[in-house]
Amino acid sequence: MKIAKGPVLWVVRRAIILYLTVVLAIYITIIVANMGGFVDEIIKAQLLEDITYQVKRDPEYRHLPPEELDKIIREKYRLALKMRGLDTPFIIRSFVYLKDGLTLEMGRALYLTSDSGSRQVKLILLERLPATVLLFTTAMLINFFTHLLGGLYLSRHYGSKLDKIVIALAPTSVIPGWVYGIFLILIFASWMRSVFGWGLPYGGFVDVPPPEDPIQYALSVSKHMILPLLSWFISGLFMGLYGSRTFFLIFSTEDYVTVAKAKGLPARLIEWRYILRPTLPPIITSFALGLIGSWGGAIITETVFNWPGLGQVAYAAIQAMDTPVLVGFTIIYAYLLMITVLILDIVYCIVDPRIRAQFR
Amino acid sequence: MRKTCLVGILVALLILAPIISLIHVTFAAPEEVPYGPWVDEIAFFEEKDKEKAVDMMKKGEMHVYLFPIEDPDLFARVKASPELTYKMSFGLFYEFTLNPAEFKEGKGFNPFVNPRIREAINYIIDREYIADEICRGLAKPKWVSFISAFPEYGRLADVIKLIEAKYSYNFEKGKEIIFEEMMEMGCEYKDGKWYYKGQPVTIKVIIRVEDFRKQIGDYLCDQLEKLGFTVERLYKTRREAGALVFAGDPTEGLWHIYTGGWVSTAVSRDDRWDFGFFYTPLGYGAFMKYSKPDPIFYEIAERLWRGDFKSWEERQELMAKALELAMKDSLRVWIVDQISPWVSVKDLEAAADLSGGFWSAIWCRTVRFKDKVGGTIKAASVGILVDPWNPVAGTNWVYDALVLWCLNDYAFISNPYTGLPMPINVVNATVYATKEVGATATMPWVKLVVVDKIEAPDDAWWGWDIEKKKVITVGEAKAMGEINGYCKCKVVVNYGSVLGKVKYHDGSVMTLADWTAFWPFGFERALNKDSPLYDESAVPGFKTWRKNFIGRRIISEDPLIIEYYTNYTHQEAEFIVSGVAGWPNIPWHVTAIGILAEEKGLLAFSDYKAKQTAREWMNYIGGPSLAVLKSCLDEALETSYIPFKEFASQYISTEEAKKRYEALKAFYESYGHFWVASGPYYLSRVDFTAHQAVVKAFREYRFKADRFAWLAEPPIPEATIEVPESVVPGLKATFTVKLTYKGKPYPSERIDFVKYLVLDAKGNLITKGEAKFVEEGKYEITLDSKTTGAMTPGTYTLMIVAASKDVALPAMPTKEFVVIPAIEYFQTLLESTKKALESRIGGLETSVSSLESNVKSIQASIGQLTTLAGLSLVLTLVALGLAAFALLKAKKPAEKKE
Repeated sequence: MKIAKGPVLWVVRRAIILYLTVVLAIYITIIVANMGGFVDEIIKAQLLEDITYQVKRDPEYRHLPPEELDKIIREKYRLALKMRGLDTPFIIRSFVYLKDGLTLEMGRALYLTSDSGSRQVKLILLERLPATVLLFTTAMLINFFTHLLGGLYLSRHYGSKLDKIVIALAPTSVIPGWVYGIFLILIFASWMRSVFGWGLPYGGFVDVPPPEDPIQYALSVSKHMILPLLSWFISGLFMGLYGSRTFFLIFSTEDYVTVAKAKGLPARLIEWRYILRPTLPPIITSFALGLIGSWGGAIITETVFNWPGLGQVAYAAIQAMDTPVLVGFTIIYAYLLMITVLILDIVYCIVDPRIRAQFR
Repeated sequence: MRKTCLVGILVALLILAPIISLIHVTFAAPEEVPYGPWVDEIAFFEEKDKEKAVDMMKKGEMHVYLFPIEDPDLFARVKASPELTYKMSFGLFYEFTLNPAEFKEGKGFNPFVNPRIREAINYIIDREYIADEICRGLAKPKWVSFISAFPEYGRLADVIKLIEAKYSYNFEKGKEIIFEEMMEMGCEYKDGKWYYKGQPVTIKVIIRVEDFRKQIGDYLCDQLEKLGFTVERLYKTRREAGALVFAGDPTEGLWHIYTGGWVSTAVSRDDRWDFGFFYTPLGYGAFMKYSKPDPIFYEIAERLWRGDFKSWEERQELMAKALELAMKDSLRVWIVDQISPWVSVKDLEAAADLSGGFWSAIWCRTVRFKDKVGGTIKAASVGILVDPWNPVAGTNWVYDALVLWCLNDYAFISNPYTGLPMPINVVNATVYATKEVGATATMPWVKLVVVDKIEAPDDAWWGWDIEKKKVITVGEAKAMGEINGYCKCKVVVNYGSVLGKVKYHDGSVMTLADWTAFWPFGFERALNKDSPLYDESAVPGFKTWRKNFIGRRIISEDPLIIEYYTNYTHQEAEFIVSGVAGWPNIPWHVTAIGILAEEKGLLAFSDYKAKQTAREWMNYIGGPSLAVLKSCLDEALETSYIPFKEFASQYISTEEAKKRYEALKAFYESYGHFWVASGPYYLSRVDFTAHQAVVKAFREYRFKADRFAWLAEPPIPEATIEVPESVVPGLKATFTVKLTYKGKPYPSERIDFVKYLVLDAKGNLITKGEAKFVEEGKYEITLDSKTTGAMTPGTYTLMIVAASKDVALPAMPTKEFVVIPAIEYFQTLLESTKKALESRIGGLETSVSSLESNVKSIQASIGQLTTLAGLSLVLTLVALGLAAFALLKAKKPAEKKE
């Protein structure tokens, strides 16, 4: 099989541009996360404060003369700086962070540890990924297909009562999912327990203590997913339906659809061939971006439901000014985004005849 | 016949059944106290949201929240809930730090270089308002650095109470001082504002935003504005503020006042360092170098820091002086002690540390469901399982400690109410201390012997020769010129019969190897740069230990008695013991697999070394370390690995090593981790994804659950004062103090002291002293005629400070009494005498009149009697007449017959 040179070169060129964009984005992230090195000064001050306080208030050291204490403090401070690499100038470290990031080595966190207690940034992120995917990717998939199919249905029943209700309720989606989450907890966890003596979990990943049987464990996790999923579903539903419906309505008023209708083609065929097919590239793009987005978790939803996702890690890293973790977080998304964009470019090539035509 | 028999039996059964059940109820076996803890299981999990935690506890989804609920609104809900209960702790306190540095030219004006202005800040802040209105009752006003629930406060309460009275809120007085000093410093007051060299005097206040300090900072700013200062409020988080206040250049004029906060996680018994730390260049923070304490104050602070005093009395004198001088300096203005509530469901009982609340090793050793043995406790905290666990240099997070306190055992734990060490695995100890130590001992398990000098025996172990791989004895160290063999203390610790008896969680039994086999480890780790175990981060700690440690010698194996020779000193002998006595909580074979992993360059015990060598920080309970440790265990089992073999094989045989590793392997296969210790619980499950840890009761623990039952509640004495109706100048006055606990007299042998203070209406001290013991729970205070003679008429306050040996928090009740003028007293006395006389005269009169009436009645009786007598006489005469007449008449017929 002969592969056309044009598309390959185009993909390679795109890949190089995207990679350089990623490198630049990562380096900017490093600089921003460190406030151009100012964070070092903050961390150093805090280390000195912590060590001095710890040594001067420790009964072990208290009886030592002040000069002796100062010596101990200085030594401990030196070791603390060395441990965090703060004895190396920021500019050098910034390139180490960049290298670690780009090679996906990701390095070692300054403060944070993974759930299982490792300082490896890789593990800090990877250990949280399954729970994040489980909740947010499930939510994303449910929402995506509900909006897609519901939107299609509404576009077919344009002006119906249901359509009007959806339009009316669309603004409710400005309320973020976690707000619904709080109400859902109040109703299904707190109030129901008061009235019926039973309710859904307040949050968390699994029952306390966790069931030993794997099936029971899985069921318990599913039970804990109900409220966060519901909060995201409610929050995104009406705006999502409204958006899809409008999107399909625009496409269904295209000239070629009118022609197809005039030709008397069956409605189902028109829907699949003349409406859905041309809208496939943007739908795939939206799906792919939604998928990547779901892997980042959601800080507040995770906090409200005490869900062990990546959002909380990102928040903790920002709080602690843990640059390697922030860089790791960014690099994963940068790479995922880069790969997705590249794949989408290739997919567009395949599904969109207009792009294919450029290489003829 | 059979039928009758059957009916008889049935009837008998019917009669006996209730009797038997009654007997059962009456004679049911008392509740069996289990070995280990009361409960079967504690499931620790994470819950950051305190509102949710309170609701979960109300609904039974959580039994205890291992984090204080300091939000006043939420706490009000807790108090109102019938399902919940709480305990209080006092570890957190707030202050204003005043920048003492003169600012650089053009950087503004700093009035706080002037100690009188700093001192005046005490008057312009209403601490009662802060405690009651801002902290809504969850705080206690504070004037000195000592926490009011801790021993130093109680011991010096007589001095502190006077300071509190002297520096109570008096805005006008503060204003007067500040105005006077500002003028003196060349400032100008125009249109309600202060100016210096034509520029408004701007005070920059760094306000921390995380807690009550935000509102407290705002309140201070309002007060400063009232005084005519222009105020700049700088709201900062800890990190932002720290860089400015502690590390920044204080002369840059970036801040004047900082809202500081401090925390104490255990009851502190010795706070003599506070003065040096908080007021002088001995403290920390760049600004402290600019503090210029009064030379006398600095000398006292330094003497206290160095322990340069000869007796307890001298120390207390220095402390009292320092307290007064600290107020004059006021580089720190103390505001409030925060009160932290720890909440649980009502049917849960547990001891809470006065300082750390439920964050203490005593919590899991006393926790239980009321009147029930067993059960699962669901305990939540804002964090759980943070850093790696290993027996050498693992986590020091409190969120890990919450679980580790359950699993580990110790020689001593801290008494939650006094802060004194409380023996767990120590039977008793004798401390030989030289005179210069000036130690005292209060607890019955410690015996103190004061001696002139102490010399360590030549055969005691001093160190480890990293080249020759052999123990260095005290005798050898002396010969090498390392030490002279003398030390300040010798501690003889009796651990009881532990070897061959104490069980670890994997079923291994403690042997001498657990105490001695790893003697070389600390030396190799800190001194031998060529060793694969060398760790630079271990050096500072080792150096401090080395300076104090002189020798160790095992003098008996059953019971296990060890002598420690040390230069480590403390005023309280109990701390000298706890400072040196160890306990092998982790058995040697468990540490051995970690040593093997580090020797092979696979893992590192410390975070520092892990970073330097690009290895994984060793974790015995999870993460990538587990696989490595597992392979090391397999290797150790296969080769019967004994670390420091040339030395340790004296204590460990190959068979013993194999047996131990097999036990560890079986444990790992059952529970999936390597944390084998000797505490009352073992780690049953860890779920890192769900952030949960489940610990279960270790029923082979050698102590029963009720061992610390006496600590369920802090035995704070309840004091009542009885005052005389009035006190007269020049006359003796007696007051009675009654100390009780739960309605019963407080045992006098557990009372440390009962002090009293008499204050006048302005808060001036009239007299003070110690109350006299009268009988169990009853004390008496007598003010002699000289003292009362000096008292002018008016209202006075008697304040009592009653401290128990079993709880640091003293009882401090007050009662007012009235001193009346002597003339008034005599008038009253005269009046009362007159009244008494009158009443007596009245009584006499009554008696006389009653006598008169008696006489009259007697007279009447006599009259009646006379009448009666007369009548009787008449009647007698009549009767005699009649008799005579009858006789005469009877004689006449007889004569006729003859």
